Amino acid sequence: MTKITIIEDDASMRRALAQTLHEADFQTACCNNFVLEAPELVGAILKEPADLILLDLHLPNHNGAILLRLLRRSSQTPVIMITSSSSEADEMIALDLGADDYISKPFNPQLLLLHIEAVLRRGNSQPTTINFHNLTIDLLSGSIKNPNKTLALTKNEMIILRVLLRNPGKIVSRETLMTELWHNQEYINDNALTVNISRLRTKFAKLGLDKAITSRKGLGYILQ
Amino acid sequence: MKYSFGRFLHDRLITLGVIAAALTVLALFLLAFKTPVVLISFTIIFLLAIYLIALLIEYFRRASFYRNLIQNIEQLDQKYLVLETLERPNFLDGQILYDMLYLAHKSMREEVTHNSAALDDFCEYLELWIHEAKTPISAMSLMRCGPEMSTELATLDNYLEQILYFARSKNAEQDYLFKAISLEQVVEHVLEKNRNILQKHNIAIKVSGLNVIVSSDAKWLEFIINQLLQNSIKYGAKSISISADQQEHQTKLIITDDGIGIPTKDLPRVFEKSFTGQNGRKFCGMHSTGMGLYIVKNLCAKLGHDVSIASPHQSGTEVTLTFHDHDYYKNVISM
Repeated sequence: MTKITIIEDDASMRRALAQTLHEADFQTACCNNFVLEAPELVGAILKEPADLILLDLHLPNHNGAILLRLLRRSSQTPVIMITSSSSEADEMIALDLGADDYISKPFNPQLLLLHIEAVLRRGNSQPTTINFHNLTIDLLSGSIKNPNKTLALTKNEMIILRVLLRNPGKIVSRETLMTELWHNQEYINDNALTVNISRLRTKFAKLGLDKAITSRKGLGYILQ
Repeated sequence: MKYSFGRFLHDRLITLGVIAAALTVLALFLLAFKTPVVLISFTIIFLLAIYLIALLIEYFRRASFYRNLIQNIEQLDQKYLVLETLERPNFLDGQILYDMLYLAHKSMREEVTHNSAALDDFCEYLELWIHEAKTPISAMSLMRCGPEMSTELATLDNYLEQILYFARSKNAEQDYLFKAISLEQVVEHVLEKNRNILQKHNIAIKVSGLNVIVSSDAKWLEFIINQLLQNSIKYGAKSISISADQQEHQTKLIITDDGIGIPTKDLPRVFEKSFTGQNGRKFCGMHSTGMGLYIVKNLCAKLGHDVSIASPHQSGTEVTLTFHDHDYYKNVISM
């Protein structure tokens, strides 16, 4: 299971982050001993091996940017900075010191997960084709095919399918799909999402997979 | 104001009168003693000439000081700096004026320094406070809250941003960072931030031609576009279109909506501070602060962008942001 270390001084923020990450199937560890000197604090953070670190820029007694620099000396763990600053300069400094990404407060949970996934994915190379049952999904050309037939997908359908494929057998909420679509400059509304899902279903049905995408009322969609 | 010999004499009418009377009495006195008229005339003219010379000396001593004072005040942008341009004069009333002006100036400067330090303190605290306030908002938006709650939180966040940028637009501190930014990305951030409210009002979004790079500060620009979008949502838009138009030396970002528009008589004043206009009062009740567009205008001025607003058909609003393509920016960015 992917493990994420949260370094955040505000207790309720920390709890909320941990809960959001748990719900997305991440394991979390927190670090809240901010009375330590910076090098010891970094040591404490690194003692717990993690796949990703969420680091708040504004910490009591510490400057997140300096912690980041210390972290980078001994570890290459991906870091996402949480900034509450609305100034570009802080974020540039963060990236300059080796953060992999940043997100500014307040953010919506889906967007945070999206950033986390993106950073984690950057590490492992992405397959260009995915096999699903007897179908082949070509992510580059945006098409799905079975041995006899190839169907092209629209951009929206492709985005939706990509999210579903990343979470096979798990419920994906409409909210998550919307976030991803809007993140890809497809500013569609609720109805359009329903239409896109049903088109995607029809395309799967044409290729012989009737029940690939099922909806769970009030929860979202599941690909199996 | 002019310092002329005429006015100088006018100021000394009493002295002149007394001297004229004294000379008349002297003339009569000499006449009574049967002094020859030629001698009397000569005496009077001689005395008058001496007095005139004394007057001229007095006049020139003052004229150079006062003329400088008047002229420099007229030419200076910051008129209170005039003392720095003058030398202390060598006649009594000028010296008194100069010294007292100096004291008044000094105390005014202390007062201004005191106030601007207090203002800086306040702005600094305000900014810190806003960052603190964002943490609970952020925590709340992470806790399972429905779209209703998210919309409210987004509104709250928007108000915080407004005051943050207001404080910044007032402050001389320039914390913006110019770089080449993609309009597409900035617009995406803004739309993503407003997704819940846009969907709640079922507003259709059309974007086109945004694949354009402009020189600006991403955060400030995000704030500006966010304000414009908020206005469109607030004033009943059902569809909003955002497009860019790249021309030779400038790029225009045009945001059009089909909301209630702005009455023609209100249009020239929408960028004024605290101006709410007919729509603000009618449509939003007490919720229009009249600050949004004012701050937008201010920030645009600081960034060197132009912003204009039109409401062509008495309904719908079209806001145009113009980014100029100065070589200056290019140099700054490539540095």
